[in-house]
Amino acid sequence: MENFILSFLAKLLPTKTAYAHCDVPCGIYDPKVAQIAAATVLKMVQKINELPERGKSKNEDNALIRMVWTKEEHARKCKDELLILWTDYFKPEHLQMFPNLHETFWKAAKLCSKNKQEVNVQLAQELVRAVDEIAEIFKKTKSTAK
Amino acid sequence: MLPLFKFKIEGNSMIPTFNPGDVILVNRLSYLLSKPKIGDIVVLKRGRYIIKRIAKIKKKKLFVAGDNKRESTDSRSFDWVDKKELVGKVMLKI
Repeated sequence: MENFILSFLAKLLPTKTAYAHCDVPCGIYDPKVAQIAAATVLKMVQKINELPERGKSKNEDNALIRMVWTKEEHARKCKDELLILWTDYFKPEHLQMFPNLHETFWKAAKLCSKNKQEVNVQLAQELVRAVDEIAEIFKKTKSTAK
Repeated sequence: MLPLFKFKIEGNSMIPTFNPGDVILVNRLSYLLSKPKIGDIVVLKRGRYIIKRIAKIKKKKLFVAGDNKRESTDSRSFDWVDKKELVGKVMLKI
């Protein structure tokens, strides 16, 4: 009876995702996805800036919306990928090698959100640099592990 | 507001207990009156929500692991987690 009531209540609740993350099974991590997403954000910001101030046609409006949507989606993807690397790949010994690791990730994740909020070339370039820095750290941890 | 969260599982690390796509209910108030116990399945907030089983307990820290050890990223790789990261205890699969 208790389970029946809970099941009924559950229908009213919104569903979130709980990750039971797996390495499938040997640790497939790569910062390239985040790098491509960050580069896409920068490209979209540049393209949005090239558009005329006000759309003169439905097609121009459509182009703007598509570019903003793509920027949003890739900023989200970039943040997701960074969080996977941060929480799943990096280990305490990496933190000893790179004491600013948390700060670096935190800033990069914040930049993803900032780039959703604004159309700003400088912010997009900062995001690309931040993700490249993380990719460089990732590369160094891989080379020391060999 | 209900003291419950509903989660859908993504990933293989809790197989065979939970499969990807399973929907679970989590009690957010479980650890207000009682302490976490070894064996409890819990949801933690570490940037995103993750589900694991408590394997060891220290004063303020938990060592969590997936039931599917071959395919789980857990405290073996990301080290002990803070008890503050606990969201709640898994109550049931629906």
